[in-house]
Amino acid sequence: MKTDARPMIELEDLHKVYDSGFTRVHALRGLNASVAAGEYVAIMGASGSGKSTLLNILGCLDVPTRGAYRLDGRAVETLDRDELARLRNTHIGFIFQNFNLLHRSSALENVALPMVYAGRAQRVRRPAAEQALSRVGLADRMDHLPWQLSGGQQQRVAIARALVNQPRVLLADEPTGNLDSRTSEEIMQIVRELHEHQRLTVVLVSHDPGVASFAERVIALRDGQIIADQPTPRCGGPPIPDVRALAVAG
Amino acid sequence: MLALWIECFRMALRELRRHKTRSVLTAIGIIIGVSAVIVTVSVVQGAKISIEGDIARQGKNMIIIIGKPAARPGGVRGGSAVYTTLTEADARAIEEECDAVTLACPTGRFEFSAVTSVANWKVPVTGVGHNYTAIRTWSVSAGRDLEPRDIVLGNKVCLIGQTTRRELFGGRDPVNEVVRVAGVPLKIVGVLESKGVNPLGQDEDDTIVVPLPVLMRQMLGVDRPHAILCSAVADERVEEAVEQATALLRQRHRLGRGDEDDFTVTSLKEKIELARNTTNVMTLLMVCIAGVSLLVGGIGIMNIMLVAVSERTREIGIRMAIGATAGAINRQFLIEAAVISTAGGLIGIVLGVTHAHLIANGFGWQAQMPVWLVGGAFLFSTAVGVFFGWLPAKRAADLNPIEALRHD
Repeated sequence: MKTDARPMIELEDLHKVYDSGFTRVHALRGLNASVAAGEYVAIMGASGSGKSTLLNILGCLDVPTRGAYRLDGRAVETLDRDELARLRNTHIGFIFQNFNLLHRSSALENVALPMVYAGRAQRVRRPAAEQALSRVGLADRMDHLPWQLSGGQQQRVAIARALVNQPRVLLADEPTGNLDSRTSEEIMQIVRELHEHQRLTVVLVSHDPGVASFAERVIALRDGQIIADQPTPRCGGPPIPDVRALAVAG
Repeated sequence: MLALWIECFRMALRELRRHKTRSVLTAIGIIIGVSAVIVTVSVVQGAKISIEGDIARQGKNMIIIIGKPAARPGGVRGGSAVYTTLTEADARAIEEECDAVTLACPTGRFEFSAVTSVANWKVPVTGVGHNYTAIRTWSVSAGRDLEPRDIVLGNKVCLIGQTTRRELFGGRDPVNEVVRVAGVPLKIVGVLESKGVNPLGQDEDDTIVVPLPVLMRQMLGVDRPHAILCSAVADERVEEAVEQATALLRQRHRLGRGDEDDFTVTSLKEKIELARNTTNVMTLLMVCIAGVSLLVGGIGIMNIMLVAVSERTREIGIRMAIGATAGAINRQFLIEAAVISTAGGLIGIVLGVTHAHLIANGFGWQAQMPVWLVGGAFLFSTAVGVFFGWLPAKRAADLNPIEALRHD
């Protein structure tokens, strides 16, 4: 499970402050954490705990106000908008709760899109996209549009898209939030297989302990701070805490 | 890099096809503007060529000197059978002494009834000196031209125009027939080829041409020509010829420095330049008016692209999350706007060219389709898209990906 010595993700005294209307929100207050390459981490927390903010920063969609975030050794807090975009394109794969596929493009076109922004030619993109879709079991649905696919199939397209540029990190934001329990199970199995076969670093955000238990390690957030960082039960750790209990002061 | 541009172009076409009605409606302003520019400019250019052709057909490098009424000996000045300030000797002097002038021909003109044994017709009669047909670039289609001895001797011969021939002789060959004009019997020696209608609306083919002495002494009883027609050596020397002729006549008529000319000199070239300037101004006016339509079309594009950006906010967020830079998003929307306007431009060009040809054929002209017009219209339509697409593209590129993703 643990592979290289250098951490894939390093957070050092990470702070994020932003203005929301008239109030100033201190969403992240001095986070320190380290995720090794190939680790599978779940981040849990109640709403308002800062987990979305943290995910946005990990995904290079946002930059910290103070402190450091190093992704594969690269200091992200110093990058400009275009450099962040390029980093997102090459290092990070996203999957979202609501899939976030382009509604008017086919599955194949959706999967190929990251390669478009990476500047790859059409003759390279098409076979790579076809292969990615085959790997998630959708070889026969390549020309379907998202509305012609079930929720589970859409999420699989999203996974194929996230991985087509061979990123370092897969970030999943409530990936099973819009799926029924059986489809959720299927999706989490796919993620687990990808993690194991490709030694992907996976960071998963979820409020569902069942989903979080697929990971190797759980980091719990409350009020912008890490209150727990432990292995999951399947890796020998204690039971996963209930998120609602985390919200209660204590 | 090129892959991105091609992909942007493909995505733009795809977006347009998805919203066919909307795309067409958006492009209508451009279509109308471009086709209007092409039709109006083409028609005006056609008019210009036609008018210039009409004027030039009068004669080659021709200069017209018209005499003003002068007092007869005896003090009587009249309106008809005008006694002018010009003399035949003036014409000879101009031809000999002005080196920018090759030929000069005194002429006189009056309307008379022409009578044959079976028909009669009122016709303008022109009395001419040497070289009239050369100056007017007017050839004879049957029979012969007037010869120098006809002019010198004042022979009672004439040339007849196509219209007059038809009125007096029908389809018959009039050569060697006799026609009486103002009581003078004239033998027709030649038929002039057709010249059509001149820019003043007069039928040039309705004419009888006689030697000047016949008109002046036998028909009018005067010995002063009404006008002198000259032909300049070359187009570039027309102005010089005008100056030389004016100076010579002023000298011959003993005009002092402060005296006005007692004649008027105009060249066809002047008239052509005037026509040209007028049509150029008209062309500019047409372009401006059509430009307004293009402006409105551009605003339509800007409006619809702003709507598109708003509708596709989430999509933009997704693209940014996947790795699209602000520049890539900007480029995508700019290209979409440019594609709409360019497509509109192409349709406008096709419509404009078609209509221009239809109208030109209706007038009997050759449709003028200068390359600068079509090329300019094409480039301008693209430029309109880029210009008016700039703001929506900037809005799209400035979106915050996190907020955009939260949009519905």
